[in-house]
Amino acid sequence: MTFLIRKIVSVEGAPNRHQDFEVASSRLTVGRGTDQDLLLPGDRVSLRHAEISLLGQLVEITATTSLGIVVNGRTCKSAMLSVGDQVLIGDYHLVIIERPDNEVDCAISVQQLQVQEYEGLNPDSYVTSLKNIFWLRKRAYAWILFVLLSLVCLILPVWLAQNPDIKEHSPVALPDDSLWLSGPLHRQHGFIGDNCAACHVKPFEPVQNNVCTECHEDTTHHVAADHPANILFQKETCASCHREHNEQERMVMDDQRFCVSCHGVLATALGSKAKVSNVSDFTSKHPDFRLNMLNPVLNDGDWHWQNSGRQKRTPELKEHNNLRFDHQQHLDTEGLKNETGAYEVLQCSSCHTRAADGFGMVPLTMETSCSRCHSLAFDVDNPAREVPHGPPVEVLNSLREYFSAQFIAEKMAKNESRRRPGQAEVSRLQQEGLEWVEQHTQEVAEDMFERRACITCHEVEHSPTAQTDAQRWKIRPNRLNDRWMLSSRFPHYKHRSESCGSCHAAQESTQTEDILMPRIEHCQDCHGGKDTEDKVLSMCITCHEYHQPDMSVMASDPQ
Amino acid sequence: MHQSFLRFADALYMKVAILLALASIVAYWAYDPLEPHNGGTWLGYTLGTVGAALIVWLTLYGLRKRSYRSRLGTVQGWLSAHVYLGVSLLIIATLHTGFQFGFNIHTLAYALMIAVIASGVWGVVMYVKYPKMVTNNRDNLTRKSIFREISELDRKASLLVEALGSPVDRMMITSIQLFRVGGGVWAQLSGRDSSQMMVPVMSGKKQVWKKVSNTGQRRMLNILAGQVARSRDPRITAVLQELSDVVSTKASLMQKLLKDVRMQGLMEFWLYIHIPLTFALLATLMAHIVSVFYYW
Repeated sequence: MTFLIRKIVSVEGAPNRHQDFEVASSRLTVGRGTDQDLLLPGDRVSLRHAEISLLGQLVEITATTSLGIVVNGRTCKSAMLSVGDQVLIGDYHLVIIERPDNEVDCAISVQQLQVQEYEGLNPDSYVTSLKNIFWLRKRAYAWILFVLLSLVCLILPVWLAQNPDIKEHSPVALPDDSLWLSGPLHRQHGFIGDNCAACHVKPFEPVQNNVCTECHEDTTHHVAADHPANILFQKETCASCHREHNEQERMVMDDQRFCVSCHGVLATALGSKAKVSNVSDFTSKHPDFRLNMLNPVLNDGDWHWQNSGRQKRTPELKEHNNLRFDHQQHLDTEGLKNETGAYEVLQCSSCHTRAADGFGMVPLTMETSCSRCHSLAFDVDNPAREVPHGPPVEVLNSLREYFSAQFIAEKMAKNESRRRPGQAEVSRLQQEGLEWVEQHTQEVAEDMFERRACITCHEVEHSPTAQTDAQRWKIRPNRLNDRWMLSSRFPHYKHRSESCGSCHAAQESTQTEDILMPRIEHCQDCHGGKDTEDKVLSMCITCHEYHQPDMSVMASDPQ
Repeated sequence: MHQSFLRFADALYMKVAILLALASIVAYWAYDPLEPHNGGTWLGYTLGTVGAALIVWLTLYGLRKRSYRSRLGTVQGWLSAHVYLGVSLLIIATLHTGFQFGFNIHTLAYALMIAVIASGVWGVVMYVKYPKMVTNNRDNLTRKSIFREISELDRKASLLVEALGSPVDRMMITSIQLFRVGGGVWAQLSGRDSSQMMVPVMSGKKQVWKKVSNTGQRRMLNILAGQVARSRDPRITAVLQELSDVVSTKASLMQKLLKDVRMQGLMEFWLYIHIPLTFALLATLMAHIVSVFYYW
């Protein structure tokens, strides 16, 4: 199809001229875009504004922009046009004109109208961009915030930290270093409050040990100063392990990896000098418990007690406490005769009591544990009278006093002293009394020391030819071991739900020398290491302490 | 062919960011410190250093964007990296905290960083979604030409009402004068049409003119429709109908204009949050780092 375009050019003061040109196309596109058949420059025209096509004799115009077109004065989307119809596109006036010949299918005249100045909308008088809002300023806000936050978060806190007087005397709360507190202090350290400088003495320097040992003056080292492994600890501070300001309030590092990093290979590293074994987990990588034995040692005629240190558990390892005691007999299920003569079944707690701190047991004594049943009476006519539980000399003196009184009482009963005795009579009575008392004393003492009372529990040595009381009978000194495990304190109170017998095989023990401490396998029945699923989780510090009680105190370290 | 900054170099920086985030997660998961996870373990220090370096570098994008003569990579490449690595910071910094939060400047820095990233993501959404919508809405027109077109319609309308005489005349003129677009932040961003016009009302026996809302030129169109219904003169009816045409065209153009202002505003507004908060973050980050070592 061929469209004839007649461009009318109007020049002031002269008749209109026109230029014709033809366009061959099925549809005539109109717009300001350069690809348009009919190019109408001007910003009121869209890039693609309209399309003109032929439907038989009729001309159809369709707007391809939402602005629409104006046909004969009316705005519309599309219209059927015939000769004489007028279309307004922007400032262009289009008219369908008569075809000059049959070679042309449609003829259109185009004339640009004089743009009339109309004082309409001035886009500049409307604020249509955020950039034009006076108070909205990105950079100004950015710098204000930067300065403000630098002041509040950094500059003021630093200044106040260096001038605590100003903070103290300020009538209003100033932004200080409490804004820096990264996490809570441990509950026990709560009294320090927000006084950061209590521990952080010097800016930009990690917390030093001396601020810790100021309060914790008894805290001891883990290894001795002359221990070869000591070098490993020299670079560490208290704060390497005791981390404050963590959300999960925890001052003691309970992760066994910390211990195992050394103790897992310690024996290997120390070689033949090692007094320890490699340990890496309680389940299967922990050696059996070694026991500290309390041994009597004779030194210059005197007995001393010596701790053996940790000793391997062998069948030959026996306890030496110079006592005679049969646990099995005492725990007889049919019972034993008690002080009233009745049969009583004894329990462990009949003799043993847990110490007040809950850890160990109260040391056993004759008075608290034995004397209820084991009487030290010696006179059937006077069962309330007992010898003291003490050195043989005291026993003998007590007996002499008792029999002296008896002798006098007997003589008085026979009226022998009623008349005034002469000198010779006095000497005779004294001699008789001395002999009588000494005879009874020795008889009873021999019976008690060697046959009936003392010998039941004690090792008694008898020297019949000895001249003095002190040498005649000797009781071997005795002492019970109360520190079997040197590396750990066993918390008996945490094991209340267990019976004594479940760990201490007292029911089977007939000898005093039997060791009733449990083996590690026994603990492992209930306690498991790091990866345990069905047992009580037991890490190193469940039983052991890091700060060893017998090491030097940290407070004495040279700073 | 235009390529989105999100797909720059086959989304190279997306891959880098994912790798960085994954590496952080794996390290956090694999590393089990003796103390609770926090910024002071060696992993905490590492993540903190990477995070702080990233924040400083991300801020430098603002400088690079302005230095037109720089040959240090293309701005599009920088933007792509800025967006992806910025988002990866979300993971790196969160793991650096060890999930320990409190009322302190450290958490403030973290919160500011989250706000900066969130506003940045908002900006990305705006940049991805709106340019196309803006083009579609403008429909080949420029904002200036929409103004001109409305202006032209106003001229036409004011010529047409002259033939009618008051009171429609006066109502039409006031509706043209009380046309509103843009204004304050909320007016621009909400895209609400707060145009008004004046109508005669009877106050007792006196007629007074009162300002009423003319949102979307609906009031004006209603009045014209009423006039058409009452009109007995076909000439006047024709003029009124033409006037209705003009006003409804104007209403649709106004809608376009309001939408254009709104979308343009939304494409810019996030920056008014993103940039000031970035500077707030820089100051707080500085305080965070200095304070941590001040009280080591």
